[in-house]
Amino acid sequence: MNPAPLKSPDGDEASALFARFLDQRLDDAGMQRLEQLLRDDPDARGRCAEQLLFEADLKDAVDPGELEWLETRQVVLGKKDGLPSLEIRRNQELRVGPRATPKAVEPPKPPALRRYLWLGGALAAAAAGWLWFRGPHPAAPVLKNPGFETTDLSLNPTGNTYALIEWQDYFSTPNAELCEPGRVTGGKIFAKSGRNVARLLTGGHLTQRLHDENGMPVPARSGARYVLSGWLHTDGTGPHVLRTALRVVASGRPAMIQYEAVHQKLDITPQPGWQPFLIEFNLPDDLQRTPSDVTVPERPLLDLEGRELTLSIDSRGHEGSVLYLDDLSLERNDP
Amino acid sequence: MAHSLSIADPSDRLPAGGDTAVAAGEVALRMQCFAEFWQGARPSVRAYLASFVPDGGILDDCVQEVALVAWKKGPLDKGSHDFLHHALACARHIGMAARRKIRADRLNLLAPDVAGSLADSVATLDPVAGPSDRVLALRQCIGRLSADQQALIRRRYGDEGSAALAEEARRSGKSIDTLYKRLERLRGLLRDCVTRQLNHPE
Repeated sequence: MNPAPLKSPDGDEASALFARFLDQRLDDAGMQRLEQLLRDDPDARGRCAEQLLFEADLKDAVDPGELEWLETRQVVLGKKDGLPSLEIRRNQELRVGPRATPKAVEPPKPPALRRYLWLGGALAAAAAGWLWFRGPHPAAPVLKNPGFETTDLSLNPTGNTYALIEWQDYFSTPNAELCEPGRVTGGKIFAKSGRNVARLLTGGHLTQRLHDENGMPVPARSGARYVLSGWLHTDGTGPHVLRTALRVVASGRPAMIQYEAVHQKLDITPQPGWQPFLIEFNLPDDLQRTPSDVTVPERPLLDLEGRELTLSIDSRGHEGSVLYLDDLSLERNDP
Repeated sequence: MAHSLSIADPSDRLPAGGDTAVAAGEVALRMQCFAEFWQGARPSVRAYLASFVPDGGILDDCVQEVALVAWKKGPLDKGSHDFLHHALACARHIGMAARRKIRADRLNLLAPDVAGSLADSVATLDPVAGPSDRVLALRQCIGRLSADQQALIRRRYGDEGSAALAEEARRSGKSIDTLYKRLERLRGLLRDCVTRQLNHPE
């Protein structure tokens, strides 16, 4: 219901109706009145136009749209006519939006016969992969972009971006970003290796669907054991807490349903410089779970056995604390 | 949804000599120019599109679509004004097309003639400050709000959309109407704060 007359704090009916319209809370009578005002009153239209621009600015202030230019180069060293040769293949990609899967440089098309042989090989590999996927042994995960170097920030004027390639599967947050720490901290902190690191504010998180070396999803298997390791750097404001988990994401936002196969919390003692960390995940025999994180009323029980795993790394430290991560690795930890 | 496109043909093989540097330099210059123009145009494009499609998710997609068209076809050699003019022209087509795909029961839309004239009003706005100054001022103003108020603003304008507000209402035990009323007050506070900030910078 829209009580009439509706006034904004500064007494402007059109602005108040328009604010409700933008929140999609205006009923039919309110819509008719708003349209009438916008048709008949150029001043009201101007104020609503300013409101739209303010809303756009607000969106930009809270959730800046990303514009990213990704350049990858593949350098092939070989021989041509008996002489050393160097070939560079370059792929450039413009990205607009919160996140994307990087587009790989496509290999040259093989000749027809080779293509059929390749197809046969690929089918055989797929069959083997399927058998492996269905088998009792969990596949060994291979993290993508573990050192956060996929993105070249050298042309980025601020040295940071909210686009964390491969680390925003299912979810993203403005509290996690990729950055060149040397630039954003004015030279106080440098990456453990390379140039980039992940920077997590409190509540920030990284998520990655797990794949093996063949690109097949890593399923949850009871009894499987994994070790997550890497390097972290605190800003010294502490206390810092890293909460990590292997999850099954049944549904992303808005109707989010997540199941946690296993989680571990790491209380970090602030100390100068980079420090290594190591976290063990042991999946129990019973993988029946109720959802751990939901935004819907339903909480269906689910057997996670065989379902695709996602690694999540959350910063749950003191409000305002900052955590840097670099050179992550997740390995199977067979007994 | 994120949109992306290849700038160069992925199958292109480049020599490892000076030509590569020249080609890369040209693309870098074009990219730099586009980035500068687009950053300046983006709020106006978003506001313009919102006249046609006020919903966050669909609006995001439309903004991205305009950006990609502007990258492919936008005039980068004629200054930011021409670039914005071109982007808004694209936005009109894209916004109108998006409206046609929206089910009437899913989203409240303004009548086409009203949406069009409102978009025209957006196009003629002449703000006292540039977009980067406005956004910077807004960020400073948001930083002065309490943690709860900041969280509410982030939930409404972050990438999670209106579902995040519903979740907040459920979590806090408040009605969604109460949250929207708080939001409206906060927007008023922020508008006043930004006006002060831009007129009397600290």
